[in-house]
Amino acid sequence: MIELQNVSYEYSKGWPRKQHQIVLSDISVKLCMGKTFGLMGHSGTGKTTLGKIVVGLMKSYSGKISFHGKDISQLKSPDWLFFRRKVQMLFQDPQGSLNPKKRIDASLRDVLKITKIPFNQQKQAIEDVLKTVGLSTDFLLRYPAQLSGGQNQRISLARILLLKPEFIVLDEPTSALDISVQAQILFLLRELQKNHGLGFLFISHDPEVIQYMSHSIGILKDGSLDIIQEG
Amino acid sequence: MKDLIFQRKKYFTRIGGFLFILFLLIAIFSHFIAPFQLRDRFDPFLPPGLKHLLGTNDIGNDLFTEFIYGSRTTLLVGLLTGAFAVSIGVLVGLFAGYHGGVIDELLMGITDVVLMIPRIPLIIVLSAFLRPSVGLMILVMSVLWWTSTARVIRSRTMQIRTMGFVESARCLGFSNWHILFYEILPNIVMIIIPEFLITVASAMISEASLSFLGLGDPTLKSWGMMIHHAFQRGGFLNGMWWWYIPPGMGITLFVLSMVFLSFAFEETEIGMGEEVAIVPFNR
Amino acid sequence: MSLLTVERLNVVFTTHQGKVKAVKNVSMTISHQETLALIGETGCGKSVIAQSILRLLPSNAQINGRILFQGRDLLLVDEKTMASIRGKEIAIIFQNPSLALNPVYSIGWQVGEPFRIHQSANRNQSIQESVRLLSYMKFDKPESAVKMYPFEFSGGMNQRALIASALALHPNLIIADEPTQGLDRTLIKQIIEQLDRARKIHSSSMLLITHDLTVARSISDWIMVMYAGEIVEQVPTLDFFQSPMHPYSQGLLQSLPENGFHPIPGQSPSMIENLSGCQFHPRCQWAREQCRWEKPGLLPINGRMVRCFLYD
Repeated sequence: MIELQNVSYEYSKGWPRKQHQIVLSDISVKLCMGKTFGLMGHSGTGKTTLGKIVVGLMKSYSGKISFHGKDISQLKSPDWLFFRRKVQMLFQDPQGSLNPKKRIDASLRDVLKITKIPFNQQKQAIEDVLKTVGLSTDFLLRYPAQLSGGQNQRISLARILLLKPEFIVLDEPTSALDISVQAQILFLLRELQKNHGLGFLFISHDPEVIQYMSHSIGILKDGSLDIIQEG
Repeated sequence: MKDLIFQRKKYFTRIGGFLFILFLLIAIFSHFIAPFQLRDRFDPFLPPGLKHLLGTNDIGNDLFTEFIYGSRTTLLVGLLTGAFAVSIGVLVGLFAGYHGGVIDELLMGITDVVLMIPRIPLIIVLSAFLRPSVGLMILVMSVLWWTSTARVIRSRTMQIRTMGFVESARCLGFSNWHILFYEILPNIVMIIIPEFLITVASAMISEASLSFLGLGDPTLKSWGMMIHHAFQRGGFLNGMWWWYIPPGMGITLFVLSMVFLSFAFEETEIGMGEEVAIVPFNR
Repeated sequence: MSLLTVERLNVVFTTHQGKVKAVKNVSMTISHQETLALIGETGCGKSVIAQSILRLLPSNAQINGRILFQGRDLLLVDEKTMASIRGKEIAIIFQNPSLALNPVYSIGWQVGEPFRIHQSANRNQSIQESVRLLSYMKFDKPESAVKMYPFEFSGGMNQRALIASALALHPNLIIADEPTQGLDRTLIKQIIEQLDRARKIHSSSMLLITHDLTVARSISDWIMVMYAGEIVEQVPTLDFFQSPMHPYSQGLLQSLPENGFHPIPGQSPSMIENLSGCQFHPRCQWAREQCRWEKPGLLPINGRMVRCFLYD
């Protein structure tokens, strides 16, 4: 479980006089494994910022975030590395998440370097994860630019799944996709949650998608989180 | 209209590639191509003829042989300087662009200081105190020539650093080293190569200029040295154009070949647009 | 006489990966004051059709067929005539129109461009027209707004200013290529309303290319469904939503939020693949042996056209 306690984030920007921006203020919420917390709000940096803070990509916040009871800002390797693997993020732009100069199999193999799976098991691991996300091994030899948005999103998911995460922050994962592809990806996410007990923080501006995917729902407004549904 | 540009680029690239490989082969296989030895002496001041394609110099050395062997030194100086300078530039640019903040300020400060150092005068001064040699030239040029590469690499790295796949890589848990050398570097290779080519060209011209001024290594026959000797030993006064024009043309053509080659590496923005096809660098 | 008639359009791209058949034998008609929504997934070839009409395809494209606009075959006219048609008689709105704005020129200057190009307006006249357009778009203080730059306005306002500009010269045909892609709901609603209003004011026809069914439903008269470069269903809008006939159409509707986000299994074929038989058969729950080897034709059934053996 990931627990946020009084998390706030603000920054000063501007010239000549710095303007203070409060992005998140006093956010407390519990994110459970196996369930989805839907996060809605106006287009802006608030939702994504919260997602990045939960994942540990942004460290300059105030407040406490605990992962399995431990404060993530106090974690040192190897605990930090463990956290890094278990809590992941899927970004909005499907093509943006993959290195355009790398073939798909190279991108996947790179992730295996982190997992330290022995070489003779790597091929199987890649085949398995491709099967999980619904793609054939034909895709291994292609480059991201040759894949559609939905396919790229699946590959990005495959990379994340290779690390066997417990929790995934999904930042508008289907906003850039066609309607039919969106349905496929949402279906896939639900299956993954069911089969692997993954927890999701699902960020979206689309109320229908949030309703469909989430157990609990919160709305981020002026930096504060209003929880409107508990599941 | 766009096609016209592509067509022209294709021809430029091919000519450039051909010349580059030609000179490279001449330099590598000098032993086999040169008709005589550098030390052989024949009748001096001979004009070009069947036996001596470029005639002979004031002490009777065959000039064609000199030209062939001269390519070695010139290319060596150029390529080595290019390799070292670009390596330094890439490292500085990558680190400055990726880490930002204090490291960036520090590295860019160093770059500014190095930029202030006048290159050719420094070599001239050093040559006055130390024995002029090829090694010294390569060393000094490498240490001074990396700045523009560093700047270019830095700005490109800063651009790429903000792209999604870098953030994804950090999220997945890749170390900074991995990201720098395995994620970002492949995306800047297309910029490094033209930088290398331009640096080589610049180094070659500098070497020729320094040799011409008499600061080159007197024991090695570079093209610059040939021109220097031509002027010093009466070649110019006697109108022996076959002594100084060929090495000059050699430098010009080689530099041109690098410039043409660098055209091949211009490419559209990576992954910025919608449907970006895989663009091989030789269209 | 219809406004736009496309006859047996075939577009093939020659790439280093082989020949890509982007558009296969597509025919369609748009009458006056009619809106046709061309629906399909990204990569099915619908944008290529728009680019063919406007003659904006890259040089490695081979086009066959006829595109008759007001009686003239656009594939045969010269570039100069084409340039005078684009922007004036056929208006184009691309995806993310605000990206077409140049950040170093003022809004007024860019919005006034159609007047300078097609109506030989001078600088002051074009600025005057810009003021008029901007005030119509409910910009605050349009006289000073014309001097401001795109970054000083929100994306939405820029979007709408550009659309107003694109439609300013009373075009006969509006081609909108995914005008609402990636936008949030409020903005989508605004843009669709704007397009609808413009269409009614100018009595224009519209070719709306989109993958968003909700958008298509709100303003189109006819719907044409494309899959893998082919038309698979051509039907009046109301009938489409009430009783879609082609299995792909049905699948699309099932994917909608209101119907439960039911996915269609499998993937669309990439443009390079060449499947035998019906292009949709690997994903179709009613596929028969016949579907694997024979290609169904586009046949008229009950006032619409459908490409499926189920109705043969």
